[in-house]
Amino acid sequence: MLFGFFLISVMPKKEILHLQVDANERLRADLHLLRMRRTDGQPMPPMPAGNFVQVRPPQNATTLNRPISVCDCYADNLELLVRRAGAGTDAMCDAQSGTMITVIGPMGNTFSTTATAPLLVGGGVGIAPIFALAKAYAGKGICPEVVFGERTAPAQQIVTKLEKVARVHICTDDGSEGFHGLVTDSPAWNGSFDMVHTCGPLPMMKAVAAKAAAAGISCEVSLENRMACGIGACLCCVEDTTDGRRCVCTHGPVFNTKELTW
Amino acid sequence: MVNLTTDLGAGLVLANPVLTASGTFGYGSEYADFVELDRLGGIIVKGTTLEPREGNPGPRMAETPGGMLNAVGLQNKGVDYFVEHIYPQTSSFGTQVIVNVSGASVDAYVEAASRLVPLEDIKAIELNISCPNVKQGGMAFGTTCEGAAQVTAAVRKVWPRHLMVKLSPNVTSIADIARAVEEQGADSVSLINTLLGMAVDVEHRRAALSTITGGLSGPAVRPVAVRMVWQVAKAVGIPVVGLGGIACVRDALEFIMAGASAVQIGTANFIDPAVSQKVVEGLEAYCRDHGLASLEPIRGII
Repeated sequence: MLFGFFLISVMPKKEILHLQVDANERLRADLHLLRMRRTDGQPMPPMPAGNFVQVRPPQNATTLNRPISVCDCYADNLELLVRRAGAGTDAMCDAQSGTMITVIGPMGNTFSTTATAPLLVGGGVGIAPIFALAKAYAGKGICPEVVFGERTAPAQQIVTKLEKVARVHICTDDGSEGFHGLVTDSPAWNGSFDMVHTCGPLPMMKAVAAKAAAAGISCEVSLENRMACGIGACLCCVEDTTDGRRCVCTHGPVFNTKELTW
Repeated sequence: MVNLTTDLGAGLVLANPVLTASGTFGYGSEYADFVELDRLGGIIVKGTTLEPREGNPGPRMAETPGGMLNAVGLQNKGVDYFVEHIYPQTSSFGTQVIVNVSGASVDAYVEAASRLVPLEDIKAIELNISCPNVKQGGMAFGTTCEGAAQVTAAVRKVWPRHLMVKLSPNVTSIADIARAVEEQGADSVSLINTLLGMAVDVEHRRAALSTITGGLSGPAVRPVAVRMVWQVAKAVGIPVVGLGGIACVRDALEFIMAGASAVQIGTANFIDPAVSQKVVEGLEAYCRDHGLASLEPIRGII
């Protein structure tokens, strides 16, 4: 209980931020990188790797907000990687430069960054928090190994960003770039690691977690779920854990796989 | 000078008529970054049961046009947890804290309410006889006059302060249910709880919710809620607390003009966590702009 109070007391204040879209880069037909900026002269609140924000889709395109992982956050800028998956993300991907977007955050917990030899595995749009984590490790003087899985050759902009902070191992389903096969079969696993962090499609994360477990390596996964509030009030986004049903928005989105009953 | 003080009777006096709805505002502290809690009329904390409840498995939520379906199933840590861990923090909020009480049997309602009696700062409980997401009890009590009367009468015997009863819209005549609980000593009624609904995930050919059906809330239900508040306000002598899709001050005024003495903000808290305080400030501005000293001249004007 004491520990719980301590955590709450150091949780950063959440803010309702009105951000201006400075750049909306179409990386692929269904994938956009949005760079947004505060216009009030203040810096962004700290959003460590693993945090997410609740985005109010432009034109109130949906009833509820959309939880989106923080890809990058620096000075007065916030970068989100958004994959078109419905009306909310469509409205974000269609936002023109200059559009004002309301974003609430920071939300959720963070990845640990205490490993000395981490392996990071991102799949698809799940590479967003993996980039944030790689950058955090780089900031501590550790160059992490990042396995980046995609169906086909990934957007060069993302790879370029990643290569500044990590050693990148691309895997594609169709063999169009990098290793032709699953992220769990990447030669990157031949290294020696003390932690695995992953975010991507659920089957991929389960396979990564199983491989980490077989190797006796601790593993953190970043989960997604259907959320309403994002702050632990509605109890909609629960995941079954060894400690009962817990909210992905506040107990997660990052879970150590030893907590999960999936 | 605008005076929004709202006396709901039986010792429940609110600084203004804006409450936050149970299950949408946690225990209040979740929203402290966004709202000055002491600016609210009150906070109705999440549904509390005698025993801890795990709630339903996921998926628990599905977005629908203008609203959302939920199937949380009253996940909570039980009344004793509230008494020991939550209540001591609520005194610093500077607003009324009302506990929403739910149960699977009359005895469970009575026992849960009894354990709240020693908490003197809790001036009211809201009896939830309308939750659609629990298999036994919950809405079952709220859909017949006999059931609603039975649980209200039983809790009335043990709960000495303000007793608010939250009504289900999933009935033929909500006014009849309201009269039944009024006769058994309810001090106010709140309405509406969620409308029973359902959505299908056609890609995966399965129900969107683990429980198949769930409770619909949000702006989509507002016209139904306003109609029911209007009907109930005409049918009973006790105050009516209106809720259902309120997302701004205009929406709150609809309920007040339909006869509500106070309102609750629910699903809108998920979209704009600062909305409850905005509605308070909006009511003050509306009164100032329209030369009203209070909301009395427009309450129940329809």
